Amino acid sequence: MDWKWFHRLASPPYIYGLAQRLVPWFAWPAGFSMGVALYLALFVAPPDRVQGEGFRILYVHAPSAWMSVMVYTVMAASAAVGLIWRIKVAHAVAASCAPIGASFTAVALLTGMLWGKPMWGTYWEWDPRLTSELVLLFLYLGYMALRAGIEDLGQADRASAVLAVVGVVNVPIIHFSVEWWNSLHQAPSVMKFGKPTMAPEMLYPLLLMLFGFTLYFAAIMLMRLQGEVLRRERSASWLRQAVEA
Amino acid sequence: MPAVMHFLSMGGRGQYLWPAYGLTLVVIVLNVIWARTIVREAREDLRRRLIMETADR
Repeated sequence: MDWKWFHRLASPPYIYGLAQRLVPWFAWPAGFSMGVALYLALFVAPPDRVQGEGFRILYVHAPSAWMSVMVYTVMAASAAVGLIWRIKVAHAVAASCAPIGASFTAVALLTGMLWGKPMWGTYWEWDPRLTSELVLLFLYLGYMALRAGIEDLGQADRASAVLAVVGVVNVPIIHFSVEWWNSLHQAPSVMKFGKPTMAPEMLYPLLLMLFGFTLYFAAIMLMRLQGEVLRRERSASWLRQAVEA
Repeated sequence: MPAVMHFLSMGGRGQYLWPAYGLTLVVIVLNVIWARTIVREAREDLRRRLIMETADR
């Protein structure tokens, strides 16, 4: 097997250039999908039989919740790659993921609270799904605090990567919490095996929104990654070209 | 105008729905600004360092 592509992905100058070139390819389709999905969500999707118009919070809540666990999984996977193969670029990817994931975990929690108040009669309940999502926020914040607290970059990379990898056990707990325990939170309508339990005209805007958010994550992560790579490779000669370009 | 008000009321759930949409939009925009700032600062920082290195030689 030819491993050249793998070695190239571990090379900071290659990654810097690649990230720079890829950003618009993710950013524009992301903006387009999210815009169309927003229109469909507010104007085309029919009101819910039980929840009426209020169910439209779904179109910002579910994509944010998807971001929170998807970004964490990407972060933990690249942290693991960084630990196992000692690839600095992988640590840089993990570090770029954390603030994005943390902010959307907060959005998922807050939009969930705004949905919970009219539907359950309370903003917050120490429910398995809500609690495990809150733990996810603390994992992100812990990861970022740990990185910020260690001066030596190599040490910060390794210590934070261990935290990220250990914390990944929380991801299946979040997903299955609504099945394992009695939860106020509804069971998944889309992210499950078999047919989604949703009308197509409600489902397609959601799927488009999820797709748009995922592309958006890729664009933002690749932007942050450029900054991470520049910050790490302080004295490398290729940087001169990167700055002057 | 009544049509707009009807839309904004979202069946009486507008007071929960619009803050949720607004918050999401704000975080989406902030992440873009935040990422751009990080790249710009990393570039400027590096440029300064390279100028100093050149001056030292």
